[in-house]
This record gives sequence, C-alpha cells and structure tokens, in this order.
Amino acid sequence: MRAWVGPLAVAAVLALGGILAVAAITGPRAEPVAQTLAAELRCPDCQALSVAESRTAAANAIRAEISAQLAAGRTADEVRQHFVDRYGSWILLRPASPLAWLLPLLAIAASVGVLGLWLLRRRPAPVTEPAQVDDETRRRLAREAESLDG
Amino acid sequence: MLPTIGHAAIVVALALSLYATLAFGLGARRRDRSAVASGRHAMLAAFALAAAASVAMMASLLGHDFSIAYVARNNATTTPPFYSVISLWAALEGSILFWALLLTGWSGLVLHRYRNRHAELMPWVGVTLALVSAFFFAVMAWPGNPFERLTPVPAEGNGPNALLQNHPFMGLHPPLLYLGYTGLAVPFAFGVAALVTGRTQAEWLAIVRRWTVIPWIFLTAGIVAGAWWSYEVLGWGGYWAWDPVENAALMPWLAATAFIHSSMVAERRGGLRVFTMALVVFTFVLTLVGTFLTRSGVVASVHAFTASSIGPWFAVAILLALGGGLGLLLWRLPALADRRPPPLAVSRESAFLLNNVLFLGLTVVVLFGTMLPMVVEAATGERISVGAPYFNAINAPLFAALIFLMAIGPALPWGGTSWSTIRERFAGPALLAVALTLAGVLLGMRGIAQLGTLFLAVFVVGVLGDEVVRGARSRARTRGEPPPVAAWRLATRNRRRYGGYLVHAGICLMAISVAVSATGARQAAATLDVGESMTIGGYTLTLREVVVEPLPDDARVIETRAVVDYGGAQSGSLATAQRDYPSSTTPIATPGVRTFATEDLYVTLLQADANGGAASLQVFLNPLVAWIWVGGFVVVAGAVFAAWPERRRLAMAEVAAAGRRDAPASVPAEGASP
Repeated sequence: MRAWVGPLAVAAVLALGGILAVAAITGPRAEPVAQTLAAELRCPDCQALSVAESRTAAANAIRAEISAQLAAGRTADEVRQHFVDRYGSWILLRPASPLAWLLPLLAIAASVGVLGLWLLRRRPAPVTEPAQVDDETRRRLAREAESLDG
Repeated sequence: MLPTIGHAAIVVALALSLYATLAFGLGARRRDRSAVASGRHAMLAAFALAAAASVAMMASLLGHDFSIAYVARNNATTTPPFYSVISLWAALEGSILFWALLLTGWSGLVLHRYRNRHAELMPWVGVTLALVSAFFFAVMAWPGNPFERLTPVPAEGNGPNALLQNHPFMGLHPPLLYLGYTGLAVPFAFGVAALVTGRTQAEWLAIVRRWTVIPWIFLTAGIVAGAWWSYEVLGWGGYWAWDPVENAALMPWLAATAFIHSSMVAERRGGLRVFTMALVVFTFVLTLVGTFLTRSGVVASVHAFTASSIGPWFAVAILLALGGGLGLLLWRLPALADRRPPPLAVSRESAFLLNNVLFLGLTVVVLFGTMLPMVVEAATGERISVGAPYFNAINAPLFAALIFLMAIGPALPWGGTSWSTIRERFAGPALLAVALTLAGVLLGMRGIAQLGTLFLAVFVVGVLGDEVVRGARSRARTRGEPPPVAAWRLATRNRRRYGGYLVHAGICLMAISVAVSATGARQAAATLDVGESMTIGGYTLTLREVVVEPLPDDARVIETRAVVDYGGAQSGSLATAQRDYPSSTTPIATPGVRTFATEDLYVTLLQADANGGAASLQVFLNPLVAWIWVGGFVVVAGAVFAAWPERRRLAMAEVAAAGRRDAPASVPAEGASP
C-alpha cells in the first residue's frame, strides 16, 4: 500500500462529506409541503397508512383540504393544527409529545454511557510477549485458529 | 367426526406435553436416562397429534364443514382448495394450532437429534420445550379452541379474510415467519438448560448459535416475503408501513441478530456472556410479544385477528418467560461474569459492542413506538399514533451506523489495531466508495439518504471484497491453488465468516434499494376514458378497456379490471383490478406491477366506471424495488451458506492433513495479511 493512499482517502472522504452536506441542504427536488404534510397525517379509515399513501375517500378529502388550505396561505403548522383540532392528536403519525422522542434516545444514550463506564472501569487486557513456539504448539495453534476462524 | 378427532388430539397432546415436562424434570434430577427418553417420546407423540389435528382442520376446511365455528368464519363453499388449505393459518385459532405443530416439530427434531449428546443439558431443554408446547395446547384446549362447534350449522360460511385470499404468497409468508418464530424457542430452551445446570461454557453457545441462525433464516425470509406480499397486494405502492405487526416480526429479528453477533464475542473472547444470555431470553420473549400483539386484538392492523380472550394467557406467558429467564440469569450472574473484559480500543470487540448497542437500541425504539399508543391510551385515555415518519426519523441513522459497522467490524483485528492496518484495509474501499458516490451523483441520485447509503454500502462491499481477495490470494500462494479454487475452498472452510460476508452484502443491496425507492419514487394519478393516455417518467399509459366479471375460480367475487397498455422504455400491457368480496365492505385492490431492472411500473385501480369505460388510476414509478427482494435472497443464501453443516469435519480433516505437512501454512485468511 503506497503512502499517499491514506491521506488521499482522508481527503476524498472529506470532499465527499462536503458533497453530502450540500446534497442534504439543497435537497433533491425538495418534496412539496403538501406531500410532506400528507405523509405525516394518518388516514382515518385505513390501518397504519398515511394520507399520502392511501386512496380512500377520507384520504382523498384530506389531501384536497391540505392543498386548499396551503393555497389559502396557511402555514404547515396551521394546517397540521387544523387536523389535530378536528381528529385529535391521533391523526399525527409523528407523535407531538417530546417524550416520545426523548425516551428512546435517552435509553440509547444511557446504554452507551453504561457501556463506556463499564469499559473504562476495566483494566486493559495484559499484553503477553510471544514465547518460543515448538512445532507441536504451532500445530495446535493452527488447528485452533482454523476452528476459531469464520 | 373430524372435529372430535382434532379436539381429542389437542387434549391428549396437552397431557403428553405436561407428562413430558415431568418426565424430563425427573430425568434431570435423578439422572435417569429412561425418564428422559420417555419425555422425548411423549414430545414426538405430541408432534404427531398436532399434525393429526392440523390435518383434521385442513380436511374440514377443504370439506367446508361449517359445523366448526372456525371453518364457518374463514371458509365458504366457493373458496378455492389452495386458499381453503392455507386458511389453517389465516385466523386466530388455526394459527395457534399451526404454531403448536411447528413448535412441537422443532422440539421433536432437536430432542431427537441430540438424544445421545449433551446429557446434562438435554433434560432441561426438554422441560422448557415441553412446557412451552403445553402452553400452546392449553390455549387451544380452553380460550382458543380451533374445533369449537357451531349450532345451528350454517349453510354457507363467511369465506376467508378478503385480503388474505388475494395472493399465493399467503401460502409462503406466514409459514416462513412461524417457522422462524417457533424455532426461536429452541435457543431459549438451551439457554435455560445452560443456566439451570450451570454449564454456561462454550458448549451451549455453539449449539445455540446454530439453532438461532436456522430460525433466523426463516424469520428473515418470512419478513422479506411479507414485505413483498404487501407490495404486490395492498396497492399503495410501498412494502413496509411500520405496522404494529410488522414491528412484531422485526423485533425478534433484531434481537436474534444482536445475539448472533454478540455470541461471536462470547465464543472467541469469552466476553459479553451475560449480555448474550440475556439476548437469548429477550428474543424468545419478543416472539411471544409478537403473538400477543397479533392475536389478542390490542392493536389494530392488517394482520390483527379478531379480539379474543387469549390476551391474558399470553400476557402471563410473557411475564413467566421473561421473569424465569432473567431470574435464572441473575442467579448465575457470578458464573457468567466476563473472564476477559474487552479492552477499550479500536478492535473487533468494540465494533461488536457498538453493534449490540445499536441493535438493542433499534429493538427498544420499535418496541417503544409500537407500545406507546396503547400505554398512552390506557394511562390518559388519549389516542395517539406512532407511524412511519417517527420510526424512519429515529431508525434510519441507527441503521446507517450499523451499515458502517458492517464494513469496519469484520476487517478489524481482535484486541486492537494500528493506524497502518486501518489505512491498509480501509483506504482503498473508501476511495472506491467516494468514486462510486460521485458516479451516483452523475447518474442522478440526490439527497443524503440515497448518496449516504450508496457510499456506506459500497464501502462495506469494498472492504469485504478486499478481505476475500486477500484471503484467496494468500491461500493460492501458500497452497499453489488457482485463485478461484482458493477462494471457494477458503469460503467453504470458513463458512460462518464468508457466509456472514454474503449476508452483509445482501443487506447493503437492500439498503441501497430501500433508500432509492423510498426517496426516488414518482407518482401520478389520472382518470382516463378508454383510449385516453397519461404519462409518468418516460412511460405513456393508455386505458384499453374496463371489464367487470366474476372470478373464474370463485364466482362470488366480482372483479373490476382495467387493462392498460404502456409504452416507453419498455412496452406491453398490464391489468389492474379491484375485487369485491362478499366478506369485505370495501373492494380489495389488485395492483398491476411490471418489474424492470431499474424500476417498477405499479398501477392501482382507484375507481372504474364499467358502463362509460372510464378508470381512475394511481401510477407509481418505483426505482430499484426488485433489488430489495434480490437482496433478501442474497441474505438468505448467505445465512444458509454459513449454517451449512459439514464445515467442521472438513476443516478438521484438512487441518490434520496440513498439520502433517506444514502447520503454519494452514493458518487461513484471518492472520494472512502481509
């Protein structure tokens, strides 16, 4: 492996990070607000589908209503609130309560924390120098390596 | 006659399972081999009786015997034979019978296979499996009797759930899933046996991993087949909705996958043993939770069966399994404590640790999100929803991190690593990934989801491919074999490792396809008169005709079908339909799907006017969806390759032969880098 490959890879990955960041900010064709809203609202007469995905009468009506309200100059939040007032918070597929978002993230953060503490509490495994190895041991090691590998 | 036989078979099977529990327990305490053998025979007989009951049910369904309530609810005289037979698993009671059949099948297989080995463990494995089987037979003997009679006998039944008789995949998806679910009782039984006997060394790990991978293969295939079924049948253009019951299948899969990974650390390095054992317990408990969610009517879903009284039974079983398993684990905690703690370093152990945290995190998020609406409603009375936007937002980064770990984990050495190793193993693949991501931009891929996934997936495949090439080259050099032969021999002598690589490659293929299809789909809707056209992407769709007629194999079902000609990059015609079933108030969509290499043309009929010859069509152009299923096949193939037997015998024979010639040369790939 040539010495320049490593730094080049680092530079390339950094460059890619830049590209991805630009891609993330500019977005592809940023989805229209109506589409995003429809994907966040639950279809009242289906099971576990959003209004965007469903073609039932109720879903069609809600999509039409979203477009009409946006055309009338309402903001996305106002439209969302309109449907919450009408159907209750049940209509939101993305639950509004911050607890719904915080609890699982806290659980993951806590488990990473516990793991970190557990690892730091331990001393690193002692490093043993390779000893002189006779043929018998070599064969045994080869055997064990074979059975361990995979 | 048949229902009497079926019910009697279930009652006797319950008695036999309870007897087997006692016999195994006695055999374990008194070290009495004949008692253990008697328990084993009782379990084999219970399997035979479960099979008899299942056959009785299938025959009753085929014969439309509406004196059985289950048949009257789920069958009609016009139901085609194929859908009659598979109605065994189409609703609550029948699916529990099917479950018991598969569970006793796995139990019999395992007890028979290991009858002369693991003399300490097997009685307790038997106790656990017999007790779990007894639970399912008891459910059928009391709250969920599949052979319950109906008087007066109706002349005609309701027919199966319309959604479930619409596609032959109904014959494939549930059995695969149930084989996975029920098979996961086996590792749980070995876990319990290891904890009870205190034999928590490497012995149980090897068996348990094998017996987790086998159900895992079925579970994976079942989940992919379910997604495929949903895509082909439901007509909304997608394949995964984070529906509670999809989540119920995903949770044990996530926990089992975590186990498969942590067990490697436990086996190779003696670490993570408590965690590994806990995962065995969690995986099994999550299969029960899945059953509870599907069968008890606590969640509303495509899959949820009618509300029933079996909920409390499953709730108790879940608590017993969880409490019993974790109780045993706590009791054995001192013996399980890690002998060699993993060092804090950039090493394969660390990658595995992080992998486990992520898989468990995913499981927790899915469980939390699935249960939250129930918990909130029970606590406050308020009804809330947790759906796809929530799960996607939280889980997508976790999955991305897992894919990254898939690249670096297998390529990092155990114990620790140096900068030069990192550079040597990852620089090339990283460059390749950057290059292909740029190519992706040029090909029109956009957005962080598509490009980020592409980058990660190429990185993974690059690293794994490099590992394989380096291993094969090294083997070719030391053995003088042609490189392809060396690669094949290397792979077949290290099945777990290279099968695992194939699984990872399949997951990467699925990840790219999911990312692109989820963010790159296009859709259009139009109402067309006969002869009118619409366009989407490069395709022009023209409505040729609208036909209304009864189905040839079931005249009670009226199909409204629109025939559409399409032209563009590909041309041809397809039919998309709505079917009116007598058992369903809303028509069931039968989308027309044409699969091409890079995209699917997916047409759903929204509404049709047969007289005027007009149809409302919803058309999706879904990129790369077919590659999700291909990726699923690759994953399953990789896992089958990894679990294929014989490896050890061959490998040992070869090492023995090589040892006679020249021992060091037989050290394979892992240590073979220059």
